[in-house]
Amino acid sequence: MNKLYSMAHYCPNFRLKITKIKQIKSNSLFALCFSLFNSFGLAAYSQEKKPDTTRKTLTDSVFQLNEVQVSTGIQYIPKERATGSFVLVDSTLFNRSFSIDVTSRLEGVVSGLRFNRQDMNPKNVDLTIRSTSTIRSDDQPLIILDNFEYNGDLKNINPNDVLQVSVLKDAAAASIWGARAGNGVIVITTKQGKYNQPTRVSLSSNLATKGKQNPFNTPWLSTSDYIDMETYLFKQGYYTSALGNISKPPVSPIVWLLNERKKGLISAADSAAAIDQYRGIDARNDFRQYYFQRSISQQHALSLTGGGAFNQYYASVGWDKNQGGTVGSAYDRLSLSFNHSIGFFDNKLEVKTGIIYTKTQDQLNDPYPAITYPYAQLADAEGNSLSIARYNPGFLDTIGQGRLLDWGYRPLEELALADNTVKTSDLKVNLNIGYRLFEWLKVKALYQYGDGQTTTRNYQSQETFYTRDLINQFSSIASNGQVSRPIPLGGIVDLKNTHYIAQHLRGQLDLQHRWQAHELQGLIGAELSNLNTQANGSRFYGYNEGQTSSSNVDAVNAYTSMVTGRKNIRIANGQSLRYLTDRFLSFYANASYSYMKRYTLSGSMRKDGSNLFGVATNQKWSPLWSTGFKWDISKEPIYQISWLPSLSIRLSYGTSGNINKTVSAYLVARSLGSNNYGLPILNISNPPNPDLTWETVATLNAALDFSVLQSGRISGSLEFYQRKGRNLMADAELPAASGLLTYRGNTASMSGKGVDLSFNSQNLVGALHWQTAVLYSYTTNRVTEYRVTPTNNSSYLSGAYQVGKSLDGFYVYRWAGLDPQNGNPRGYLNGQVSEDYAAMVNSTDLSDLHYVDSHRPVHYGSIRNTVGWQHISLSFNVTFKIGYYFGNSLLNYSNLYGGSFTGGAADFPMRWQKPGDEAHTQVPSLVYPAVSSRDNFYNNSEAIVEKGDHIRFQDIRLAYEIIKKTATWLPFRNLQFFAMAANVGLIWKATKSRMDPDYGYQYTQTRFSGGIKIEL
Amino acid sequence: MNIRINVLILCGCLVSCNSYLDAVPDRSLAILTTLEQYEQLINGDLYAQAPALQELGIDDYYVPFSVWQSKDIRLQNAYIWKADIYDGNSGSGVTQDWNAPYGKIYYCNVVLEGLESLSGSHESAAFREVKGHALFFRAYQHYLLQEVYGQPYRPATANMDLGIPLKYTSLPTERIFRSTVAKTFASIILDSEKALEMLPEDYQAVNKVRASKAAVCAFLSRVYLTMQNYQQSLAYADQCLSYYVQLLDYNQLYPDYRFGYPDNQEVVFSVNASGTSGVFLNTGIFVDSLLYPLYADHDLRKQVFFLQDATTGLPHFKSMYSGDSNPFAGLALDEVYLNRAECRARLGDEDGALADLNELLIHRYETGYYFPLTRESAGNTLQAVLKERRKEMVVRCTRWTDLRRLNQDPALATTLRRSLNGTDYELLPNSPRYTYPIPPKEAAISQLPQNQR
Repeated sequence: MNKLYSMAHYCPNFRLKITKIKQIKSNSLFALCFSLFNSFGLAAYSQEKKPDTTRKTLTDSVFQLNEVQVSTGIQYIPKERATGSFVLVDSTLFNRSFSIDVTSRLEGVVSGLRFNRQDMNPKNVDLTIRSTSTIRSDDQPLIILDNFEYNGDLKNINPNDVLQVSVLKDAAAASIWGARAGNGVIVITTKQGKYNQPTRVSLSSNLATKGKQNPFNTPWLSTSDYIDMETYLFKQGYYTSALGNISKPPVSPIVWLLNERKKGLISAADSAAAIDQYRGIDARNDFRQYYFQRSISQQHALSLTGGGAFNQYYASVGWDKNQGGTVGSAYDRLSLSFNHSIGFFDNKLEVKTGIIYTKTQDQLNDPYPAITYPYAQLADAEGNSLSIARYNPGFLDTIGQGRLLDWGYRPLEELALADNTVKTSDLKVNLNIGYRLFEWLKVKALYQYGDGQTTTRNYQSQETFYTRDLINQFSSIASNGQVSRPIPLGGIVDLKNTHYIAQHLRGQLDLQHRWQAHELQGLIGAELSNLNTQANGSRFYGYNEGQTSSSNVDAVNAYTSMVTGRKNIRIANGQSLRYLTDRFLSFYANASYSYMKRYTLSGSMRKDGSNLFGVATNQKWSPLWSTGFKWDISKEPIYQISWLPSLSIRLSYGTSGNINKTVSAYLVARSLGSNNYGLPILNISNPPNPDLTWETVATLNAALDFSVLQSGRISGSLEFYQRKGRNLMADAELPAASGLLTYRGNTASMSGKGVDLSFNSQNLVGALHWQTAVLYSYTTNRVTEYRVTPTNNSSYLSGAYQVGKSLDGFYVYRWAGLDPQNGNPRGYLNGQVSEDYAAMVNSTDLSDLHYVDSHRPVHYGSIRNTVGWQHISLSFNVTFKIGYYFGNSLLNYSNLYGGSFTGGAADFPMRWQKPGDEAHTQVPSLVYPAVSSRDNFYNNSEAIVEKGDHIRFQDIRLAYEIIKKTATWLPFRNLQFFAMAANVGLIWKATKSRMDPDYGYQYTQTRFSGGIKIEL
Repeated sequence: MNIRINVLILCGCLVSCNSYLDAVPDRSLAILTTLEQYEQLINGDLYAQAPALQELGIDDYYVPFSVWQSKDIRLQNAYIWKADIYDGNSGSGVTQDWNAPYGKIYYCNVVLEGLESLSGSHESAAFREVKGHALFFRAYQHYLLQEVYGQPYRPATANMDLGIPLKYTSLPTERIFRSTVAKTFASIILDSEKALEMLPEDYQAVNKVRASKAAVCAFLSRVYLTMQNYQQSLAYADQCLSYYVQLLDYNQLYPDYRFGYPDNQEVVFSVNASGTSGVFLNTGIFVDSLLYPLYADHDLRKQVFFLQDATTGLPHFKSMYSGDSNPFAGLALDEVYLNRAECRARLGDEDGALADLNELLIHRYETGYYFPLTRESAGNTLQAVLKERRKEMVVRCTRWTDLRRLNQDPALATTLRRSLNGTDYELLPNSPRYTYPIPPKEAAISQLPQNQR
């Protein structure tokens, strides 16, 4: 009955889904797969045999008997028998915060997982699990989606389909992933149906918004100061070169006015009046008005789940719509997920099929207005778009006598004209078959087919500056006034397409046997994976949107540039083609044995082979292993400590690997098109390294799990770890006369250690409840071997390491303040205060440098409190990062003169101007011409170092939940509301700089979100 | 039973896994195994990025103070022949003149080593051509480096003077040391002579980034001229002109007055210097005030090379011989004619010298306005030849070498002078500053003796 009920429920819903799918122009493969599923569904439907409900189901049932299980992507392990270090983020915690993507939801809730935001770009999330363990290889954790490595854009996973996330931190947990597990593993498990569960429908809708970015947060040299500086530079003749350059670079309106004045073309009064008009203009006003906008995200999801005695299913549809923080940027996502499993022959045979389809569209129609002076205007008072010079104004006024296309650049029009879209579609089809041969032995075959496509179409119509500029550059005007245009009139379309097909096949034997007090669990398997990627690009000139026609161009011959008058420019044909193949063949096995549930012993082994280019076969096979032990002390009969009802220790050791695809054992060359004479070219991309091996990371983990008080109201775990990385890739400096500048080889080793503490306390239970969760991590590391000899201090400044110092440390010049006589920045040379910057660069006296440890937090964690009363709960999370430094951007005179007016340039008014100023400023005095070694010294000195330590009010969340059990009037099973503010603000920071250590000057706006979730 | 099948499948996998894992990860990547691939390696940009540092020190141009101040450190310091041109900078902007040529030599060594390991005929024309080209290019780059970082070739002291590190293998760990000037030149000649045997006679019609016998001879003529070995220089100039005779008639450049890109017909080997874009062709940079008046009225070079500033009337550069914005650093027949004329003049064949000069100049003057030089009208033939060399080889990456060579003869010595904002700078003949310093980091890594300036 149950089964019938559920089948009847999901079928109509299916039809609803399929119409949606057709609307999104799905490919035929999808339809094919769908029919496959449907036939399985019918098979289950027609099965007559009655279920034996007393029998345990044979699936990898995720949560049996309420036992918490963690997934390694290869198997599920009951948490209580896990010897390794796992962090489980369950559905509640995962859904506590709202985001479009999966990874952001892990911030501040996983012990030992650090979000590195030092590059200040919110789009590049850089993760470290525990300690850094590599120098030059990929340092990001491996991501597993359900059973296999995830090949594709993480943004394509709809977080609403995620059931839980496990983070595998030590060797016993991660080694089963072998050569790619060196940085830890994040396993994302998606939702599945459940046997014997009535159909449940869940509908959720969320909305989030973040305030308009404030351009005034960016340090910015004021217009008036900038104009004064330009006037000064003009007098020095700085612009003579630009004004006379054959490539006709733009000069600012002030420079142009000054030049006109110098030539006597305008009067002194007119020029002064015109200049004064500019003084009141600040381009940030226009940016705020025309370029930035409030970002708005909507996320809606509908899912259906349930199961009978022999089948289970989960189906969902998700829709995201986002308006970005800049005008013209938008991101939409549609995701569909369906999985279904059927048992045959008393559930001895289980067939599970699944499909995830995602389609996204990213609008990149927000070209940044390229302004080169702070008083640029995007629009006049009436809102009409204004032009910004991209060439010398005099050149533009005289060239072509009106026969060329308009050559003005108007950023606001560009915003309106932009038509640049990235579309992705991603399909994953899973087929898993499991057959229980004996009660204790099961054979499984898993297959995944992934097919993803990213298509970029950038249409730059003839109205865009890019196209007009290109057409004009190539144009030539004959003596009779006839204009010839090698690049035809019309738009330019760039198409880029990346298509991958990933196939994973795994065969596995699962063994599980219990007898008396013994329990043995084991598996052995092999996995074959193949990822083929094809990328191609093409460009069409003279494109006419209406007629979809384009013209051929001559990409062979050189043309005379209208700008420089040199016959040396060629029309780019814009074609590219690449084929990539990534193959792995792996064998693995693991086993665990436990006695009386008191002692558990585990071991695992994996061998990986890959087609890593040029590596000799013997190096392709890298055996990696782990072993672990757990002792549940509190289960010992003699254990009597009543206030500590649960106590166990875990110990594990093992190795994982890390891959670096940028090096090869053989000399490798890359094909690079053709030379000026049309002959094909190869370029050397890799010098040979015959001694190449993979990096290995060995991890030792010792942990204590406990719970205090009879009720277990206080629980937690304390873990110590030590990591040793061997054969790490490092770059040796070579004499340039060898033809190479650096040589990458397995020349370094590291050692790291740390502590992860997590602590949960239920301070109050009952109607009024209060919970506290504390996470604290400490991590340090140091280089233990570095078989590379740095040449001099400049080597350390450009990233050389020293044995005994951290991998995350960096070097700066020691700072001796400004010279009281002339305001020059001073450092040390052989221990003496010095201004000889050239000698400092070439010095070999390490004491002239200051070592900063480190640029990554050494201590970090969070404190999360949840207070609730009946249906209402209020939760807030405070995070902290302590013990690290970041580099501030400082004034650089070369850049300032070159037209940079943001960041460090804003310090210009604070510069040293007269003796005595050195007491209250460290901004060097103005020198002309700029001395690049002086700028370079100052920009790499101790003066840039800012303490990064801070405490952040990460978020606050108010939730209201009503359950049918307690509110019988409710037409639903469950109703939830939430409102949340994320990134509320900094509570404390060590630096006096205006910068947020994590986010820089921008992106500090609080994000407000709210949502509703209904479960039927 | 079932287990056994499974094990069998796994074993099958193991057997075939090696071929499965042999798939090429990126089809645009290649492990070099064929002659064609090595050929494609030398098709690359070996012909670009010759050092231009020496051009910044020559007397073809001058820079007003205000413009000089706005230029990069390399130009600023090289312009005034500063002792330390690096001033603590180590970016590619200041080290490219050293790094890039050695990068090219690395390519040549990779090709030469790779060719040795190839199976198949090592005597085929195709094989010999690729090998010959790699040998020639290695010699060419060694020569360019020697003329910047090696001490000038002085016949009396060449055995003691410091040349440059010579690279004959692609091994990155090989020890680097400076050879003597004599050994440097001997190796350049040895590579070139081997190349001369292997290369085809004429490649000019197709591809001027490929060397031919004519190119090697033109090069050897220049090398021997640098060594003041006038007999050999003359012999190779003769041999070169026996393969290829073609002078560009500047009358044909009218009305465009610009050189073709990527080459013109008198080029025998096309190489461009790098990193001077926006230097010579910039309107803020002017032609040397002693050079410009040397050109006669109907000398078309005046209009092809230079342009007068609309407001000041001062001449600046209009077009580089390369047709690009960077100076030409290759070999062309006008130079070969001038080499031969100089050798003939020095060896006493004045008529032969004047004949070469006349042949060249008839292509340079407006038709009908050139009156061939005679012994009487020319005066001192050698002086006449050198004057024409000065006028013809403008920003051609030969002037620095000529100054290093000619200054050794007090009768032909020149003192270079610069003036910036009231400060005068001088480069005396035979000054140690005619040898540029090696990038400091490079000298430190390999403990090379630095050039004392």
